[in-house]
Amino acid sequence: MKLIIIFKIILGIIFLKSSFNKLKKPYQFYKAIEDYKFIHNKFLLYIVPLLIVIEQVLSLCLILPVNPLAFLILGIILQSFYVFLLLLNIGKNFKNNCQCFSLNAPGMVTTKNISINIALLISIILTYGWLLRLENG
Amino acid sequence: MKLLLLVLLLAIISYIYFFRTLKKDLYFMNSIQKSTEHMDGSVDIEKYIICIEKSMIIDDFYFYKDVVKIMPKNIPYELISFDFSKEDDANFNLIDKLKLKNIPSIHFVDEQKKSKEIFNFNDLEDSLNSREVLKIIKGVLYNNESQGNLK
Repeated sequence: MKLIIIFKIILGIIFLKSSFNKLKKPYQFYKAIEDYKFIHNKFLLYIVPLLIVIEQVLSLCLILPVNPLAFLILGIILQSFYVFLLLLNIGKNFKNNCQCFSLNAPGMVTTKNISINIALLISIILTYGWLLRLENG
Repeated sequence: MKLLLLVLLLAIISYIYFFRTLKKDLYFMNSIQKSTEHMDGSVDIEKYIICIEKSMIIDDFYFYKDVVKIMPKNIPYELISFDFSKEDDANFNLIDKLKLKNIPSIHFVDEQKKSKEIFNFNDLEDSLNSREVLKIIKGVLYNNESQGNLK
């Protein structure tokens, strides 16, 4: 039980660190997402803050002992979005990117970035499954 | 359950904060004039001109936002970005007109439309942090005012 809680907290710290970067530079994150040309400019102003907040809440849900279903849902939504976004832009180089969001919005999208995001998604699902199994005895 | 509600409340506050911050940032970005579209006001007034390079805006966005915040409130200022990735005569015309030697820099334009460089960002030591740089700029602006460049 202790091991899974430590793993869950480490996951939370990874997301917290990533969200802190976006928290400090919301405009640069906006430009990075805009550069991917996936979301229409009209909606960017509403979606970019939402992405930052979802990441913040996800990290808090992983660190604090809240209902595991909360981090499962948020994690699947967030990581699926980034995996899909990066898959669409694989191999492309973006000039309006400050290179400060290497986890979710890198300036040069490589298979390594996608793999890391998929690994995070799988980790969230596994953590949920593991917690559920332990709770059910 | 209480903890989850607290996190949700925090999320709502956070969303409103980021939405407002981003809206202000976009407004600030739109207020930056492009060198190729620079309009020279017909009224001869004293003003400051902050010249920056377009490619540097994204990396130093919040620094320039802070620079604008410390500009004197009683004198208007213009923020102009130069895009050197494209060759454009308008860029060079403006450089000639303002007698620009360094970019990024701050210039003071008097009533006779004479431009004088008062601060060159390239002169700064790399070891200085943004707070120290802003302090230096504040001092330069204060000196410019006390030296009688302003009416």
